[in-house]
Amino acid sequence: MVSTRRNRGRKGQELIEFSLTALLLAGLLVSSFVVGMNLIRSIQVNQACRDVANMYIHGADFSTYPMQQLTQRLATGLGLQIGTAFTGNSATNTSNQGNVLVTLSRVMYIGATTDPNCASVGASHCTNANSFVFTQRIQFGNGTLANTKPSTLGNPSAAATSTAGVIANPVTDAGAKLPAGAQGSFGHLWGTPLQDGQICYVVEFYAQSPDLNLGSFLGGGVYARSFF
Amino acid sequence: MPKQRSRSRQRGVSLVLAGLSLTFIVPAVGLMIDVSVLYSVRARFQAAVDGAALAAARALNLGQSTTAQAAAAQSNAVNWFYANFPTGSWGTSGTNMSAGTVNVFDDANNPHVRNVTVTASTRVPTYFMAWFGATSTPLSATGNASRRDVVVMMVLDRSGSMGASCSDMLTAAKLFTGQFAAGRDQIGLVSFSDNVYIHSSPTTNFQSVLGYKNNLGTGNGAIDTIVCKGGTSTAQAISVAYNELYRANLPGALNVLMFETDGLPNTLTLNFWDSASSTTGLKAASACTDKNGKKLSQGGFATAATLPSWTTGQTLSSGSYFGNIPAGMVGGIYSDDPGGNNQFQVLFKYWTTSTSNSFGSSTFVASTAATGCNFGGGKTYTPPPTDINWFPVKDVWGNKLSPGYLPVTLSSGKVVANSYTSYHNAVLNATDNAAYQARTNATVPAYFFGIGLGGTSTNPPDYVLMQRMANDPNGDNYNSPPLYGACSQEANCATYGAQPQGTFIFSANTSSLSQAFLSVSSQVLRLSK
Repeated sequence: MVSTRRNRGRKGQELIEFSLTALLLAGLLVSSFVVGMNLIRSIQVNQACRDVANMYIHGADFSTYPMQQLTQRLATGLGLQIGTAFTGNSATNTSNQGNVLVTLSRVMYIGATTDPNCASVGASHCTNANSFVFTQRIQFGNGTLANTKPSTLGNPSAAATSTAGVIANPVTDAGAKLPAGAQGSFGHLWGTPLQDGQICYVVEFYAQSPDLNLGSFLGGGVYARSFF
Repeated sequence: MPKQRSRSRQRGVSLVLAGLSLTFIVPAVGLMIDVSVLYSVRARFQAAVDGAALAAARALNLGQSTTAQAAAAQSNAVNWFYANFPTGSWGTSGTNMSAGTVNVFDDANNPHVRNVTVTASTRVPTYFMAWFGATSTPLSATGNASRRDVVVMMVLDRSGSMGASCSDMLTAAKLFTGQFAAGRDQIGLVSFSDNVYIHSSPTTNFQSVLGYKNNLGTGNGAIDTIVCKGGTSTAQAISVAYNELYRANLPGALNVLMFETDGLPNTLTLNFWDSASSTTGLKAASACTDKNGKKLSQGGFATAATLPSWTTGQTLSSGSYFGNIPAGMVGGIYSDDPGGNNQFQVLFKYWTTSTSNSFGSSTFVASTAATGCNFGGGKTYTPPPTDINWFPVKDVWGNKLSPGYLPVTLSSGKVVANSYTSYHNAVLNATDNAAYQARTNATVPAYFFGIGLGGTSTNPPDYVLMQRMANDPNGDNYNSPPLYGACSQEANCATYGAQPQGTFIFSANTSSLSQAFLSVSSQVLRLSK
């Protein structure tokens, strides 16, 4: 009788031990999976960002559908959507769903009023002297992601821009300037200040990861940017 | 009792086993995470090195000597590397990347290419493997980039319509030359109005020969000597400029024609003797006489030996793409721009070796060699002309008057001379074809960049013609609102994916002309990487 009671008391002990162990292992497994997948995604986003930057600096026109489609292929698995095919140029193709937003910026430094860029328009007309200006801005993918992760460069405000994203008058159009905050942060990137006319090609890639979201532990997105 | 003891010993076995297995699982998971972090850092690190290499190659035009350019490249590489990969990124330590790890050297196989190799190293921290004594992992990356030397022939319009804008054009041209690598890149200059003048073949000494302006200084040269007068012999100018690129014979470099104009082409240099059929382009009733004093109606102009020398011919320099222009019945035909009197004028001095640049119609037409002809001395023709029966289908440079961009009326394989519109279209066609020939040459293919200047005449440059010449599929990126659409949306526009793609920029007025020149230099430098 005593033995039976003892046996009954041990019933479920293995189950409890297994549950405790499984809980530990499952947590380890899930977190390893999520961290690992996020790291893999980070590698992929960085690679895609780098590849796009490399093509951008070599003259590829990402305001065209073929180049946006190529980016989509580079970002396979990340969920970049660019909508239906279009002809010509679309520098702001952001009315799409999906998990990725790609932002390409060509930024130039306009030097002092005596430097060539200001001299080319006349010093008195050189609105953007001693400033970083956008000379091109292209964005495609899911535009709403800019609310989650806006471009670190800000946006050209009301500058006259073509369908290819080219700013018509970067030296004289005040709307071409990087916002005040970005002027400082972008300027601080450079150990040696840029000279008049020097150009930096910036590609920003943001991929949200709703499938790999562990709340505040992992923020649910991967961001990469390349300065070429 | 033993059974009971055995069972009590089994208590917690699962936990013990799990604990034991964790000693293997946790390091394995840790290793996976550390390796993943390493790969992530490596991707970021490699991107930074690539960016540094490309930025270095891009800076090889900064400086007045090749030594200074190499220093600028090294400085740029360091700048770009740390912009992409700041010290301490991802917890890295001991990052080694400095000017000393940036190597600038000439390519062993192509003397017109300079290479940049950037090497960087760092140590990536480990988070789990540190428990086993491995606190960091060494990581290194190498990036390569190259820059082709640039060979540019500038083709500048010094026709009379440039007028007050001439000085703006000269300023812009000097800003343009100031952007290139002195001592490595080569720039030459052709200016044109009714005729063509070669100021300089491509030279590495372009800053002192042509003049320049940049943020390091300024200097005067041939550009400053240009005076604007006369018509617009665009096709010939492009051919002559391309011939200089061809003579330079640097297929390993980036060959560029940089063209600026403020109007429509209106002049061609033509040979009115058809050697294939031994016939002249004269009317039967023409009063022109040959070497023997005979008119066509008198049996004159029967053989090449009897041809009068309206012009003396032009011997081209060695290594030319084009053959010499023969002496004979050769001259320029100028036509009014649309909206004018729809008249022609015969010009004789299609080529000049004068350095005075005092060109103008009165100089060109003063030929006494066209004996008996009812032209010369500034006389104009209202079609149909008195002497001329037809225009050849190619100019002396082989540029096709037809077929091409716009319709031209032909008769017996020749361009009719009694239609102003037909000839005007033919001039535009030949100009288009001159750029086409330059782009498609198998030995020295050239990129064509065109700048159109508005606001100086009632006939600004033809957007579609310029898009075709530059092989630019894009619409207007430089004016707001845009003045023209993408080539695919414009009538008679055509571009070719397999040919070098340049750019056409329309500067609506002189105030944005320098910006247009700088935009072209920026794009050329971008292509040179």
